[in-house]
Amino acid sequence: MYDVIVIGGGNAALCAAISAAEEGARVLVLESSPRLWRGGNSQHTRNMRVAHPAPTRCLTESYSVEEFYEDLLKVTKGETNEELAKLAIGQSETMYHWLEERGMFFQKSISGTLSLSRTNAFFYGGGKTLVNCEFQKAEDLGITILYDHEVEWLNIKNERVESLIVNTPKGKKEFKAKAIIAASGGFESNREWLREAWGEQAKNFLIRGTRFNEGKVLKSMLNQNVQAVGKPEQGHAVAVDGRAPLYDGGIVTRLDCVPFGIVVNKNSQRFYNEGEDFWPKRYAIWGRLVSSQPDQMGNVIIDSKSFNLFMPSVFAPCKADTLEELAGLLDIPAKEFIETVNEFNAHVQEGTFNPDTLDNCCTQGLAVNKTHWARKIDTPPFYGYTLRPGITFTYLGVKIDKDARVYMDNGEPMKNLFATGEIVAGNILGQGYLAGTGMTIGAVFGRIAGKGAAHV
Amino acid sequence: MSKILSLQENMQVARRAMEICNACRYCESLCPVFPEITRFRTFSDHDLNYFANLCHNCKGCFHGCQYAPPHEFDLNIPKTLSEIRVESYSQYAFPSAFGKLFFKNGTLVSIIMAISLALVFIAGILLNNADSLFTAYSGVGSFYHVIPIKLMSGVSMLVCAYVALAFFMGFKKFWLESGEKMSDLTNGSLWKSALSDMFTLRHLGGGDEGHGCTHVDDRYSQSRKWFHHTTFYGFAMTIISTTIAAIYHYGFGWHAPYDMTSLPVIFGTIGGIMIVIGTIGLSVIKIKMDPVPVAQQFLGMEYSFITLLFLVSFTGLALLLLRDGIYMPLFLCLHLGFVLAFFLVLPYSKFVHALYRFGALLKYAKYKER
Repeated sequence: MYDVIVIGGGNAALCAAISAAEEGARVLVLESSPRLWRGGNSQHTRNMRVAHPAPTRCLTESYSVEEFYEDLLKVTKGETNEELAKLAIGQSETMYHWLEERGMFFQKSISGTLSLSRTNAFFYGGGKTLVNCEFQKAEDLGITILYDHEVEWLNIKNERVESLIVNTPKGKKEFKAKAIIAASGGFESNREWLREAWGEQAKNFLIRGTRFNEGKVLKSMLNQNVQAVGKPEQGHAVAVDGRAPLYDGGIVTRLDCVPFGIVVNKNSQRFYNEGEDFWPKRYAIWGRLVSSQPDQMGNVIIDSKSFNLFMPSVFAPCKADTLEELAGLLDIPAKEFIETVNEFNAHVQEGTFNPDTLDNCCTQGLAVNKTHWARKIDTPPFYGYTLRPGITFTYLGVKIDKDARVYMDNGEPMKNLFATGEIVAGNILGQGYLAGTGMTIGAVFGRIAGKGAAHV
Repeated sequence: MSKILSLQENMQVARRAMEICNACRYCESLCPVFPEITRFRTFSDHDLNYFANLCHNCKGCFHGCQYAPPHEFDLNIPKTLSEIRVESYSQYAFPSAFGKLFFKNGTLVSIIMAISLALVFIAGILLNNADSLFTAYSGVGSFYHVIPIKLMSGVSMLVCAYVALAFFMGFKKFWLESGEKMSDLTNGSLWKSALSDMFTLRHLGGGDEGHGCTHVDDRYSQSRKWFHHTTFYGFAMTIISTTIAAIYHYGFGWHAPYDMTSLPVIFGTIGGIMIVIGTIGLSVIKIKMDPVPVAQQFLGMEYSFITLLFLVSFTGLALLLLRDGIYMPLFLCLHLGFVLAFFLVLPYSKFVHALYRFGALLKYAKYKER
């Protein structure tokens, strides 16, 4: 008999498990994936947002709790639970030390991420190394970890989880514990559910993270009148290389060249201002933009002037000496493509190009103007990448309170059910995204949930 | 076991791997390889050889890799770079026709070992000053009753000269092909940096973190660093011992065997014990390690070299203990046989990793402060 069962195997789940075990509980972790795929979306992450009053070994300058909260308000446009947001932010610094004290390592920000060196603590070796260290710590604490154990149903009666129904390699089994912590992620790997929530266009989405976030635990809870939070159609989607794998493409499929070129749809038409703002502030809207185009695809075109201005991507671009040839390679109508480029070039204004500032290179007089970094596409070879919407995570989840406790629709708190991680991110992230905040939320509420669950 | 690829296929796999790493960069603080990758957009074969020799094979980038198998990108940097590293030893070998010797290296070492032992025993049996090889000798010059001093020193000088030439030519080829000039080697700061990296084995220690590396599985450990450098400093002490003995012999006319409290014996004994401990430790790690991030086809080279090093030291220590009895000639021949084999295969053995790793660290020193 276990005191606490943690559902999930990512950062949030393991923080919860470690915290519960340190409180003296006998803990079982049920991870739906095989060992080699363990870690949920955490294996693809690289940092955690941390407020700090003074520089640390890995973080520069200072980042106040107030500033962190303001940044969050900006991206969510106020759609956040102030109490929970301030709790997560307020505990982010002690969380960083808590992880370090337990054998998780941080490093200075990696190249190409200078803008995050003040606000985000990078995991040494990335998220998978973090998760490896967390699993080791869990094993050292005597926590039992079962892989290939997918929880598909929670038996909920009178605000209490009586048992869990689990798909195991040896068939269905029932597990019981005094308390349950749901840290099983969102539903973004469940294509059917995505289609329900996002419409037909979801069929062309690529999933940037784990293939194991099927949302079964979430669905089981919502089907039994557990209180939901967040909208099903809210989530984090970016434009990724169209050749990325269907799942687990992770960081390397991103394309950072949009501000330096133009983006056309499958009819060779431009549809949005590519140079609206710096890429880190705009990349998260391009998933939506591309998903609303025909066949959910776009093509970013640059010429040789811009080729070395962005982080290299994992797939080689289509490369051609003429626009016509490039259109052929990208399979878009050539005549319209050449017209679009010529029209764009004709409206580019004189300016001084500077990729590090919001420069004065822009177009004027177009239906869709480009407001910065607009330079003529005129120097062969020309390069093109296909874009697809890549979904990172979903925000539909369960409502929690400051003790990470889950609630029923009627407002009654659950007696023995807690939640953390992506499944509760919607409490704080009503919309938009602030890099590294998901890991902060998962870790902080994981620690809280573990402590609470151990004393049920 | 996975398929063994040709050199060209390996290079293609490595190039693709470097492109993925360059787009990811999560491993940037693990070791010098990953920051070096970011200097490039495309990767020539020489660049890949450089990365392969800069890699200390700590496997942190495998266990922490979100694209490692079963991911379809199938990224296995330690294995891929290990394969390229051995290919590069073969390309740099002098004379170049001997480059092939790296591919059946376990067999090569075994054959050379057998021949060396046989030669030394034949010499010992034919040339020793008694009717039986089992004869006790004592006092100054006792070893030379078994193998004459002129033969012993003549052969060792010839072999050492050959080894030195092969090392120099190999290193020169590595350095020039990697795009550097010989004149760069006059820059003392490069040497300072590379020597410091070598003496501390910093890059097997987990970098600035100092928590060690992941040799056996995904847990951090300092064990490989400690066992490697126990072997390394043990070997250095035996070289010091031999050098002092040579000075005694040629400089002062003091002939072996030396007292138990003499410098050559003290250095040799401590060094020998360290090598025995280090090589056993390294072997245990190799036996226990996760086989996936390992180039299995080259393990023969590693085991044969470690074993030979162990046998040289073990027989040396045995000789010290038995030098006054009738088993001295037997153990002297065994020891000299292993020593001869060790130096004969040296330019075509795992030992060359030291040469090219040091070269890569010199090159890294040139670019790291850019």
